Amino acid sequence: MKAEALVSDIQRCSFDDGPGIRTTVFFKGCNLHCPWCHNPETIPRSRVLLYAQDRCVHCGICAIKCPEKLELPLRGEVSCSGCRGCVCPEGALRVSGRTMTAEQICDVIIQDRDFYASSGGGVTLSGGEPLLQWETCLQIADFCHKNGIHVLLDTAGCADAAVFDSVAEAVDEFYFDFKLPPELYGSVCGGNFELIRRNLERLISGGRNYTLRVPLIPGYSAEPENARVMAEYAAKIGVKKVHLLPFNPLAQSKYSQMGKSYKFKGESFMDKSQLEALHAIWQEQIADTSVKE
Amino acid sequence: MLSELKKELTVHPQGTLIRNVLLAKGYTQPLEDNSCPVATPMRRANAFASLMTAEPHVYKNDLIAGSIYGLVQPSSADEQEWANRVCALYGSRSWPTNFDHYAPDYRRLVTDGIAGTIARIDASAQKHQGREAEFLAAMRKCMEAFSGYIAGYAEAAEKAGLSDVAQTCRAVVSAPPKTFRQALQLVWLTHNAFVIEGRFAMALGRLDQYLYPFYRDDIKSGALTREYALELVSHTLIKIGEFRFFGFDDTVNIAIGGVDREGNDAVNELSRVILEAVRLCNIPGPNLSARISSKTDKSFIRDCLRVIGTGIGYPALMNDEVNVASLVRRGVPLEEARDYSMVGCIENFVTGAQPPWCDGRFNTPKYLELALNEGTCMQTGRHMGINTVPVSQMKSMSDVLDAFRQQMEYGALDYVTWFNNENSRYNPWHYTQPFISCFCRDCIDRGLNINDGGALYPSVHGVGLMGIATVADSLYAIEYAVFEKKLCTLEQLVEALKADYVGFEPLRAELLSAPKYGNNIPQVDKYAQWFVTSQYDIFSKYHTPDGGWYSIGIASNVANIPAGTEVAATPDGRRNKEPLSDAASIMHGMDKNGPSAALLSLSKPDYTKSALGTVVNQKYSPNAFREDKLDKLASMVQVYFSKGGQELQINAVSREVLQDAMEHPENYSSLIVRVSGFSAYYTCLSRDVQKDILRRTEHEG
Repeated sequence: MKAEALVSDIQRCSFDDGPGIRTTVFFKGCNLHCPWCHNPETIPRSRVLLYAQDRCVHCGICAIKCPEKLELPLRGEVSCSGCRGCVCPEGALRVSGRTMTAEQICDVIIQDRDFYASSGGGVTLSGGEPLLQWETCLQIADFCHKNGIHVLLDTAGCADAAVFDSVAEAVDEFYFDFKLPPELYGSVCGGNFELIRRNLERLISGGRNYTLRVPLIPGYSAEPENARVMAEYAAKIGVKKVHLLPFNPLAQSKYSQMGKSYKFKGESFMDKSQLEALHAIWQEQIADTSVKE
Repeated sequence: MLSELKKELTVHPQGTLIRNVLLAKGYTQPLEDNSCPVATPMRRANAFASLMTAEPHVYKNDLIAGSIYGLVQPSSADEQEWANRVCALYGSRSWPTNFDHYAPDYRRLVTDGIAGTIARIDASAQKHQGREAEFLAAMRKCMEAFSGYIAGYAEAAEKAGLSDVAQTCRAVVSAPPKTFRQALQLVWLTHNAFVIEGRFAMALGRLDQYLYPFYRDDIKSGALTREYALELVSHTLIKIGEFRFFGFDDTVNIAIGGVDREGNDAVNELSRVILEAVRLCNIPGPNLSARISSKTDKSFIRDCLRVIGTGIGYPALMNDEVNVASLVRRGVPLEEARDYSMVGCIENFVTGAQPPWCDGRFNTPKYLELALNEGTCMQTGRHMGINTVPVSQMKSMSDVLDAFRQQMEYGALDYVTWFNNENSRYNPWHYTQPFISCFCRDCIDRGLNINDGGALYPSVHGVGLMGIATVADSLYAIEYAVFEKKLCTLEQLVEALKADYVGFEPLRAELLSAPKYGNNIPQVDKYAQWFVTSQYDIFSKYHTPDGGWYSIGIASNVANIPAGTEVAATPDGRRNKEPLSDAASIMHGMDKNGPSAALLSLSKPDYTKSALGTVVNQKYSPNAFREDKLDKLASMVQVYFSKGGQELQINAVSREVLQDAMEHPENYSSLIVRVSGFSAYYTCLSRDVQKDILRRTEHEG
């Protein structure tokens, strides 16, 4: 329980990250860089300062309080100790990224055990890519199993086979991302699709409880042609269950708080007819396809 | 058609409220053997009988008759002046003297009917003499007048061509009801009589329990369908909205579900019919309370949440395990406690067996202010508490708590002194209530008034404590900033409070970022536990004039806003005059770890000591009410209650909707928002209250 991890957030009482009521651990660091990422603060494996300019009243308290004398307010990746000393009375400044041991994370997890038990819930390991901090994942999973808590791994699957298999052994259920037609993966998101394919097939052949999770992104996976290629590919390798995740523009504020530009600025929520058309494309290949909003 | 009836109810009668005119006519009626015009029970009965001559009004779409329309009639200014003068001469009980907020014993009424009730009065009169016999004669007079009132409705319905309504009324003029419809009709007309008397927040009690035998038998015999029962109930409850004629909403509590007197699960099909009827009515008046016990099926909780999810804000969810235990702790026998219902917003009540409710507000955070300033108000410099040690001599948290407790004890003594004297000021014989006494065990058998020894249990005064989270957060902020982190001395902190943090902004930022109640942090939560226990101990020392309890509760409605204006800046970072924390909820936006952690914190105080009740507001986005998530939300309720939570009120409104409603109130005339304890139309609330609701963290389930 000593393995350390850098996490951006632990969200308790989530109704949306798997069955029942869940605690979701968002690990920091990702080996992909999908331009639509809705948790952009989790991509770097370092601390990130999120600065909401519209809430800042320029009182200067953050700068006064910073023990490291940083010229606050700053935004984006910073090298600081993450002491969270930069208190902001307006909630305009927030540090994403704290180092926690598996034990500390489990101390949070265990608090909601009655909620998991009552609702059939548990813990979701998410991120970022949780497999990049696989030792912590293993220790958390071990703790959860000793306490009868269900564990779900939410992964993009781009990990070394041995790492993937060892964590896969330790968890109960998987959300496995599938973002693009295979040939586009490398150029758009980065990563090694061969690893992803291998790991996904491993879940399928092993008869594991998994769901393929497909974000529907304008210009990418939401293009009907791409959707068709992806659905056919998934059906071919034997995928049985799919969640479609319609695009939403809510991440925009996170990009601006990090001082980054957002590629999908101005895009709005996906309209119903477009969603229905994509749903139909997928359902034609894989009957158990549902939309998760 | 419900919508047609709803439309009819919006047509206001022309004229003036003639309640006092009718009362005055009754009061001035000569009595046979009494030339001295004092307010004897028979004079009170005559006044009631005169009220019962109010013209019956039947709506075209009525299924169940009973209206207050007839109370508005042409009346001259002279007549009004005379009536007001006469009524002032005779006086009346009011809120602090146990007048309304009462759950009548309707179970007995639907069993006995009017004739049975009168027969019991007559039997009792055989046993009694003197004042008891005199009081029983007054009760009899009231029941006869009420019977005449029902007969008047039968006639009016006949005239309006509603023969089935007329037939239903005629059946209960004297005899006990035989069908579901007759029982509902009798109960509604009784309730209506109370409203005509001017009583507010009269509860219907356990409607799903005492009407169930009628429902079950009628369904079985084929005389009634579930659909028609729903029509009947919704056509009845919609009329609670009729009270809006007079400019505000009534708060008629209805308790459904829970356990029966033997402790078995009491949820039945009628509980669900009432739930649906309240949803169909979609008005703020029926204050629906769903009692949830450990035996309640999860599907019933889901049904409740589905109704809450429509945005209506009802029902409030009540934990039987805690509420029953809180009444037992107060000395109510277990069987009787299990049969509790609620009056007003959430006040726990021994159904039909205690005098009407009354309560007040106790502004607890103010006493912390006084404790930190040797008894002197930081806002005005007036000395209003007692002298407690200066902060320079407080060396630990226990010194702070000692001073705080002394200030509360002093305040509590004032509070109790005022109430007990106010309540004892009137000669009970001249302030009797013979009609309502007919619906309270055991006034008839004892021949005694409800306020004067007739009720089985003595009167209870509810002490509505303010600001549990403000206090818990403030005490922990002192522990954290002064004694643990040593960010400042207690004197410096008090200086900052007096300055309303002007010039102390960095300190305020530290205080704001200190851990807060609502995040399942034991070091903070212990002060919320202390809040309940210490004030329970303080108020348990006192009794109401007839020997009843001072029951604490934490259910401040929207009073946290005015109460906040009376309190200087507090150590939690709250500024001078800002709202206190609302009811028993955590401070707005301070639940940083989500609703599960909030519920874990909120379940820690021993609510069996807050027998009045508590109100915890939690707001979820509509997303959390989707069919696939309802079960998760139901689990939240179950876990909270299994851990000792007392009450939960859930809002299903999105922040966007509320913000838009604040900008464009004209588009949201029917938006209902739960404001601790009672529902109200959002757009009718003041902007301060609207903002307060917005500040409550919206839980993105």
